[in-house]
Amino acid sequence: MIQKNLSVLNEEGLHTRPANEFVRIVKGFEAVVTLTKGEREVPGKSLLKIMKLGIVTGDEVTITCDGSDEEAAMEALVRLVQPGGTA
Amino acid sequence: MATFVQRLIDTETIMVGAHASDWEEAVRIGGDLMVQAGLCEQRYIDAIIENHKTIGPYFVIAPGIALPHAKPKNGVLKTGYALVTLDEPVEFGDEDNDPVDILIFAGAVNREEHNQEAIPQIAELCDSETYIEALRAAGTVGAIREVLHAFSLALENGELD
Repeated sequence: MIQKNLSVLNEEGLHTRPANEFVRIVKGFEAVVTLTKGEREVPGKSLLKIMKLGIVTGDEVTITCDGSDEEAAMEALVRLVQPGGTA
Repeated sequence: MATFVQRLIDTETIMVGAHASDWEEAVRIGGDLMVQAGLCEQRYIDAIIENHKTIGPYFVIAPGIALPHAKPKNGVLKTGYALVTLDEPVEFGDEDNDPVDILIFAGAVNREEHNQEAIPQIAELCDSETYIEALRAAGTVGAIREVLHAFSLALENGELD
């Protein structure tokens, strides 16, 4: 299992479209992904539960990936929430 | 923060059992409610339809439920919402969630209100099977308002998971 804390840098936060993209990426991997903001942890494949977190640009979130392709899943998800790479 | 339910009820932008022959007509029906209530310009609705045509059904968020919206800069005048239920569901081209019979329209004046008010509160409603089923069963605008009030109370009291 791997885990990463990061700030959401994509300029729109994680609302409908980026959240949809997040879910699409998660579904493409075998690894189980969870997304955490504050004390709320949600499954990475649930669009509604991600939308409920109300994630805006600058929020700190934690992504956890657990499974055979966890490294690749993490890399793809980090690329989505930090499109320009870490500052 | 204002609530999605309060704004929706205040603007009287609810329609029950509307008939649409396709997704575009369904979006136009709710779009007219938004425009007539002074929440957005017509071009906001045109942008939603254009976006759907060019990038696909990004706003179909759960089985049977669409959340038509575009960006604030596309002509939002005031943060607000509309809710339309259809007499017969229509296809939006989203294989996971078609066909759609509930449309919740959202327009926010800025990204903060969109991400922090509109999206999380609507997602709470859509994630609650109880209230979504009650919305589907409601036959009048009054019945819809009652469901929304009950949902709003449950949300405030932290009774939703």
